[in-house]
Amino acid sequence: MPKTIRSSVMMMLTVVLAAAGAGCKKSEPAPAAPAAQPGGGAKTYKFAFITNNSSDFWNIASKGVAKAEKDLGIEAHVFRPLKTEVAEQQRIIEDVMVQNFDGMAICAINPDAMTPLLDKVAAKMPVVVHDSDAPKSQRKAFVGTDNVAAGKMAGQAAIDALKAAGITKGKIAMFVGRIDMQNSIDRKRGIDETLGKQPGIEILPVFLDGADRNKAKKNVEDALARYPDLVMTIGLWSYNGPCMVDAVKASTRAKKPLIVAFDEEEETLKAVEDGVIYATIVQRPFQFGYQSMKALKDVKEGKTIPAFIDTTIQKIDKSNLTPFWTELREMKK
Amino acid sequence: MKAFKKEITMFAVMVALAIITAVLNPLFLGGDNLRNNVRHISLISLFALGEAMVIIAGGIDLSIGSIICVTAVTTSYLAMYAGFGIGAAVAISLGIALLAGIAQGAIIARFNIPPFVVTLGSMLLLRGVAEVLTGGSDVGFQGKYPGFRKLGEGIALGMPVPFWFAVGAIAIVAFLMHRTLFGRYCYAIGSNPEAARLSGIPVMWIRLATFIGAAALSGVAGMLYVAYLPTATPSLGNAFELHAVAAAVLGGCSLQGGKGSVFGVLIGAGILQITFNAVNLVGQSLWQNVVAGGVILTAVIVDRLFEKSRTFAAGKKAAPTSPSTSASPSASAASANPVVEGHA
Repeated sequence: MPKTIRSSVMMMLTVVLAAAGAGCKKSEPAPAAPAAQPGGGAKTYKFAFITNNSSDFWNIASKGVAKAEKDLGIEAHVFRPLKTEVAEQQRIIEDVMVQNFDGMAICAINPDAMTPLLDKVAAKMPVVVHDSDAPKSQRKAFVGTDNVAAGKMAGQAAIDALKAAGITKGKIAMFVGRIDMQNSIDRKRGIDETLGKQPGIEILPVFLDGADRNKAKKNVEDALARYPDLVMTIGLWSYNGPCMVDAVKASTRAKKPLIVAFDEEEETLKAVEDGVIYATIVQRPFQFGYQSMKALKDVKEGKTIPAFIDTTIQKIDKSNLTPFWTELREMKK
Repeated sequence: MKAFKKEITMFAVMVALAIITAVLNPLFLGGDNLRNNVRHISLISLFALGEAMVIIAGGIDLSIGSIICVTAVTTSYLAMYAGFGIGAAVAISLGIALLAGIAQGAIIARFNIPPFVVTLGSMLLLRGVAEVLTGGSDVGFQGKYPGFRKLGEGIALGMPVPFWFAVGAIAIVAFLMHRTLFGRYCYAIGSNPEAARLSGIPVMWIRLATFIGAAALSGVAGMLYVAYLPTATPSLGNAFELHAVAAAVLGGCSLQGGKGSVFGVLIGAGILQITFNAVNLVGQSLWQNVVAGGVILTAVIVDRLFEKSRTFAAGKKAAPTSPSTSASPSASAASANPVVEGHA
C-alpha cells in the first residue's frame, strides 16, 4: 500500500510540477518583438504596461502594446493585477522598479493612495498613466479618454433610450468594480450631470463588485428583484455589460430595464446587435496600449508630449455596430 | 431530534434572517429572487459540502476556491482556444480537479503534513496555473455553447439547474456520511485520529477520500460557475474557501473535527446567501461583507449560548446518574468501536 501511495504522490507531483513549469514559461512577459533597431544598434527601451484587472478589455490594449513593440522597436511587458487590489498593483510596481525598465504605463487602481509610489517610480523612470488618471502624480501624460465626457455620452444615450421607449420616470442602477478609481468617479459624474438631471429619474447608489463577475451578476439580479420600477441599468466597466445582459435576460419581469454599457466585450456587442443593449460607449483600448508605449519612447528620446493624449470615445449602437465590430475583430487577430 | 439541536438553532437563525428581510422588503419573496437564492445556495452548498467532509474528518481544505477557478478556466480555455468540444473540456477539467484532490490528499495522508499547509500550497499553485493558462485574462464563451450555459443559468422542473446538481450531491454525501462505514470513520478520525488509527480505521485512506470528494464537488461547482457567468476569470472563486468554511461552521461543523451534518451545511450556505441577498435588497452592496461577518459572529454566539444552556440542562439531568454514563464524545471515539457524533 505505501508503495502505491508513494508512486501516486510522485506521479501527481510530476504532473503538477510539469503543469506549473509549463505555466511559468507562459507567464513570462511577452518577449520583445524582433526589434528593427531603428538607427542600427540604438538602445531598445524596455517598458512596463500595467492594467487594473484581467478583463477582456485589456486583451485589446495588449494588442496595441504588441503593435507598438513592432512599430517602435521597443520591448514591452504587460502586467495584470487579477484582484483589482491596490496592494497587488503596488507589488507589481515595486517589482518593475527593481528591474531594468525604462518606463512604466499604468492604470492606477486608486490614484490618491498610489500617488506617492507613482512619484517614487517617476523619479526613476518616466511614468504614463492610462485609462484612469492619477492627476496629482508626477506622471508625464494621461493616455485615455475624457471620462466625464464619456459619462455624459452614456447619460445622453440613456436619455435617448428612455425617450425612445416612452419612459418618463423610474429608477436607474449603476454597476462598477470600484468607485474610487478616477474613471469610475468621472463617468458617474458625467451620468449624474446629464441623466441625473432628468425629472422623474432617480439614480440609485452604485452597486460595487470589486471586479468579481460573480458578484457583479448577483448585484444585477438583486437590483432587479429589489426595484420593480427599475427602468435602466448602466455598467461602468467592461464586464458589467455581459453581466447586466445575462441577468436581465434571465429575469421574468414583464418590463425589462433598458441597458447602457461601456466598452466592447464580445458579448456586449452581441447584445447591441440583438437590441438588448441600447448603446455602449467605447474608448479604443488598442490606443491605450499603443499610445502609452509611444509616449514613453518619446519622453526617453527627449521629445515633448502633451499632458493629455485623447484616444477619443464613440457611442456604438445598432446603426454603427457592423463597421466597428469588423474593425475590432481584425485588430484582435 | 436531540442530535439536530445545533442545526435547529441555525435553521431558526436562517428563517429569522429571511423573515426580517421579507418584512423590510417583501420583494425578497419574489419568484425571480427566490430562484436566484436557490441557485446561489445550491452553488455554495456544492463546495461547502466538500469542505464539510474534510472538516468532519479533522482536516481543512483551503484550495477549494482555486479548484473552482482552475476547473472553470480550463473548461473555458480548452473549449475556446484548444479545439476541444465542450463535453471533452468539461471532462478534462473535472479530471484535473480530481487529480488535484488526489495529489493533496495523498501528500497529507502519506507524509502526515498538516492539511492547512498542503492546501495552502495547492491554493496558490492552482490559482497560479489558472493565471498562466489564461495569461491573466478573462476567458469567455463569447456567446457560444448556449446548451452548456443552461447548466448554470437554466431552469429545469421549475428550479435552477444547479439546484438539481446540489440535490444529487446532497443525496450522495448524506448517504456516505450518515449511512456508511466511511462516514462513521470520518467522524471517528475527526474526533480522535490516534484512537481511530489504533482501532484499525484506515485513517490515511479515509482522509485521502475526503480530499478527493471535496475536489470533485469543487470541480462540479467550477463547471457550473463558468456556465453561469459565462466567463472564467483567473480571480474566480477568490475567498470561496472561506465561504465554504463559514457555511460548514455555521452549519455545526467543528474545526476540531468529528462534528457536523449535511443538513447543517445546507443551512450554513443558506444563511450566507440570504445575508448577501438581504444586504442588496435592504441596504447597499458596500455593506455586504460587514453584514455577512456580523451575521456569522452573531449566529455562532447565539449557538454557543444555546449550547451552554443545553449542556447545563444535560448536566443537571445527568447529575443523579453514575459518572460513566456522561462520557465525553471524544472519549467514546477513543474506544475500540468509535461512536459517531454526527447524525447517523
